[in-house]
Amino acid sequence: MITLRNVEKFYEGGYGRTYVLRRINIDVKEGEFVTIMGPSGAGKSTLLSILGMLDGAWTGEFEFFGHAVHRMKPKDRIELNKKYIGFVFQSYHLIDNLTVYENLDIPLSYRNVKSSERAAMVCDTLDRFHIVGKRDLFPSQLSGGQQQLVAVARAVIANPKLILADEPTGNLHSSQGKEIMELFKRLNDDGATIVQVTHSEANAAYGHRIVQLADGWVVS
Amino acid sequence: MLLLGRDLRHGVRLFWKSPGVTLVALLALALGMGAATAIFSVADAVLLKPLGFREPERLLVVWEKNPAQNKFRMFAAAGNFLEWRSQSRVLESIGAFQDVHVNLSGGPNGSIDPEELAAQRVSAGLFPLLGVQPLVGRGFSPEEEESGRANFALLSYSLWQRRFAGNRSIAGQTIRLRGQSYTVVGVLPPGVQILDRAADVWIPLDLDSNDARTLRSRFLTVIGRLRPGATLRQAQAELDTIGGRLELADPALNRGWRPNLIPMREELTGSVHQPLLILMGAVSFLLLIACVNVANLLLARGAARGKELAVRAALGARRSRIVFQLLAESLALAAAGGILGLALAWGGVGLLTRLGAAAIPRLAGARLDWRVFLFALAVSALTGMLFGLAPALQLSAANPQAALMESGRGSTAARSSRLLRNGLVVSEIALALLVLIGAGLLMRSFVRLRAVDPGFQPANLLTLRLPLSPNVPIDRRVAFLDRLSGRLAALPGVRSIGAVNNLPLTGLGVGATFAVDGRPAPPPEQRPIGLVRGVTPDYFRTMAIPLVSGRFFAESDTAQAPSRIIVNQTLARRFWPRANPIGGCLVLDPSGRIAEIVGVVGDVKPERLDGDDWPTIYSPYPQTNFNIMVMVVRTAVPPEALASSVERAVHQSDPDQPVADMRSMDAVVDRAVSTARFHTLVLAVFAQIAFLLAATGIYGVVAYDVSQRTPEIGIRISLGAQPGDVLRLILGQCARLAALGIALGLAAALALTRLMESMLFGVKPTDTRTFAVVSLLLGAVALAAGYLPSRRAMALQPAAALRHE
Repeated sequence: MITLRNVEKFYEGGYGRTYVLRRINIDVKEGEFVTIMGPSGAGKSTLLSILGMLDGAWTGEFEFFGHAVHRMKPKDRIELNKKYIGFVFQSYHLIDNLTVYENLDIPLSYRNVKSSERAAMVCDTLDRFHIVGKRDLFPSQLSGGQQQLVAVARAVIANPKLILADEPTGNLHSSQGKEIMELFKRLNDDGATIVQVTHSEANAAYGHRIVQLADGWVVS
Repeated sequence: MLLLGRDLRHGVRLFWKSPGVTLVALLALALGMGAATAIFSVADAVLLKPLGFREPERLLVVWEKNPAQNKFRMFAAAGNFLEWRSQSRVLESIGAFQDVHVNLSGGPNGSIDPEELAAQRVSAGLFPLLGVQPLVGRGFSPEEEESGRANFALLSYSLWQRRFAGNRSIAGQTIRLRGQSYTVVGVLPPGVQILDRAADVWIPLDLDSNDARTLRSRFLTVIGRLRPGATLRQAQAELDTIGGRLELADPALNRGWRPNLIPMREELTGSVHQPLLILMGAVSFLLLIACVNVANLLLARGAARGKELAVRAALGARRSRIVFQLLAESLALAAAGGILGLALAWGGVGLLTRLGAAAIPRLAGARLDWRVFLFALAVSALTGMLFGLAPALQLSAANPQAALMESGRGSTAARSSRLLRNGLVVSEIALALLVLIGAGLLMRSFVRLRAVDPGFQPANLLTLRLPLSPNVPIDRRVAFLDRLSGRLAALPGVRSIGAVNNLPLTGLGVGATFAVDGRPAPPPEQRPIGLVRGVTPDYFRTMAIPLVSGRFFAESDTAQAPSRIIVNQTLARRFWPRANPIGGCLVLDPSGRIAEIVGVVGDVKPERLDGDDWPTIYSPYPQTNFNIMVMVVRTAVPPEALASSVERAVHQSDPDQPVADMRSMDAVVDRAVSTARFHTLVLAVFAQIAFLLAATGIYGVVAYDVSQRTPEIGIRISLGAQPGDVLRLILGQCARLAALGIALGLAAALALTRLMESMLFGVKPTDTRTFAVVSLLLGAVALAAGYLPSRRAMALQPAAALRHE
């Protein structure tokens, strides 16, 4: 599903290049649950952003579902993102001035789904995640765990083939975090490929394998 | 004080760190306050400043009115003036004057360079009535007002200085005016003007109580002073009663005529009162726009300082301390803007005075004075409090812990803060639209006014007034004009020459009643009034006034020839609506002379481009007795190029003949529209400033909004939004704000522009085209102002945007 060959990212500074990622070579098969781990500053979130087509400033080769992403224009990469990927952020990144319902509706509106279909899909998702009662609330009216739940719901509402999760339980306490990880496990069991970034060994245990990063290199 | 100094220093440092925002804020404040101060200085000088006379609130101007003839401000008949003066008890004193021109040709030491002077014939009691005491010598005595004993003169201060070297022994000395000796009795203080009309010299009124013709002529401006405690209503009632008696005594003169009393201040400023109020309203809106602009800029800046204020609160600062700090910073900005604004106001007053002195009475005396300076300071302080208080209160009330932990919860812009800024920008757009529509209406009106056909061709026409001596018989005056015309015709570049007693667009001038010969004549008080003009044969050709039927005058139309006249189309249509008036005759009052109509010419605007056409009767100059004539010279080159040659030709024809008021006809037309032009220009400048401020305000709000919504935009892109979706998001919000602002502005404009009705010509206050064009223009500018920040948003990298805080 995903192949990275010699992917690198750097910033040009006053004293030369500062590398964030060095010669990354990774393969991710469809249906896998991969965990990326490493100390702070290892480049985990940057790698995830590249996988999610959110960061276009890198070098190397990136194949995704047979598409050569490294040769695609930014507009086409966004289309690829829309078709296959759902992203869960550490800071939830819900839109404050939209209700829960509207936050779930946003990704569907960008995928040209008809409004009647969108309504059905949003309602299904609200039901699936047991947050029907929260549909008219704003993010500021939810707890951290509830916000992350909505963020996960938003990430999966368009049935993505790949779910990328950046420290999904970083701002939650342990019981909330466990709930979220159980949810990811179920999604993976249902066929979604998941790549997560985490510091937590407990969270890593939910995955099939771990990719270790240190100072921008894949060390194992 | 120490704390204030520290807060001010911190504020200045912060402003220095963001020079763009600071500069925009300062400019907005300076422009708003500068314009407001300049206009209010002008309004103060024109509308509020004392008139310069003793107890001016008791002074009235007494016109004569005849509602049946639609006349409300006619000069008073001399006989009526004398009767009011002797019979009125409510008016403690009444005086009168007449504007004239006299030739100064000699001084105490003999002949001097001749000069035509603006003069006023005044009744003896006029200056005591006004409370004006001579600087040197004395005023006129009542005996000096009598006919045959009136060769006395009062000099103006400027004439005394300019022509007589300020010699304090001038009183008692003799000068030569109008070819006669006049004894100077005194000199008046500087700046004496009656009803804003400047004069160089005053001579007694010289009324002959036995001269019925003079007593029955309406040519006097009458000034009255109310007795202490008396009211205008009482004075009007009393003079109406006197008018009733005069009507019975002389129905031919007074049937239908009554006095019309107007307070002097209203007489002077009545015509500009409304327009000045409109300008004051517009500049107040401009100041509001500037304040809103600055408020938005500082709100945005303040919101960005949320963390700093939270840290200060966490370190122990009380709410009042934070409010004080933010207020101090805002007041510092307001003070700096106020000082800049004062400098702009200084220049603005000078500019307004230069542009509008011809158009606005009393404007020449406008200055920036200490009261206006205080007003500007008060405006600065109020502005500082207005836009310092809102963000100060908003921020200081914030929960510091929530603000410090902001990065954990909520990554998109705070709702209430956005609502406030959006509300401010909507109000800014609404106010800008209001000012723009006002300016647009005036501009359309001015264009329509300038497009009015004055009835002649003003280009390449030089005019010069020749005050001929009234003591010289008409045949010698005719000979002089012929001689002069011959010399002028020989000048290279001269195409044709004519003369008339009253140029178009300079006033109604001489008028007389008339009747149509052969038809039942109405009683004298019901006869129509026509403007009377004396012209040379080539006048119409020179002015390019078209001949509609019949013929122009010829050299054969001499003083000895039968009485012949040419009438204008207005007269012809009114009295011969379905026939040709050629061959018809008019009976001309007061002489009863019967004159045959030999031609009909096109109408010419006598007074204003937007004024009515008057019935006009042209006589051949030799058949009149006018002693002040205006030469018109059609040139093949710019008329100013021939000015000195023309003047030389005049002096070659008569070395003692003064030349006055030499100017092109284009300048005459310009002067006629100077009031409209002044108002249009000033409001257009305000509109441009409002436009700029509104565009800057919109840009600032949208740019700030984009920066605050950067994480949200990153989220949307990460969820699949294309650049077009982002553009629609940002521009959509901009368009909604603009639409709401424009809708509010239109509603306000529909209500308020009717106040401008008296300033408009040929344009309705709710002119659809103006409203539509201005709305579209402002909408387009609003979208354009929002487009630049939108482009930045479209180019955001989602990963970078999501890391933005």
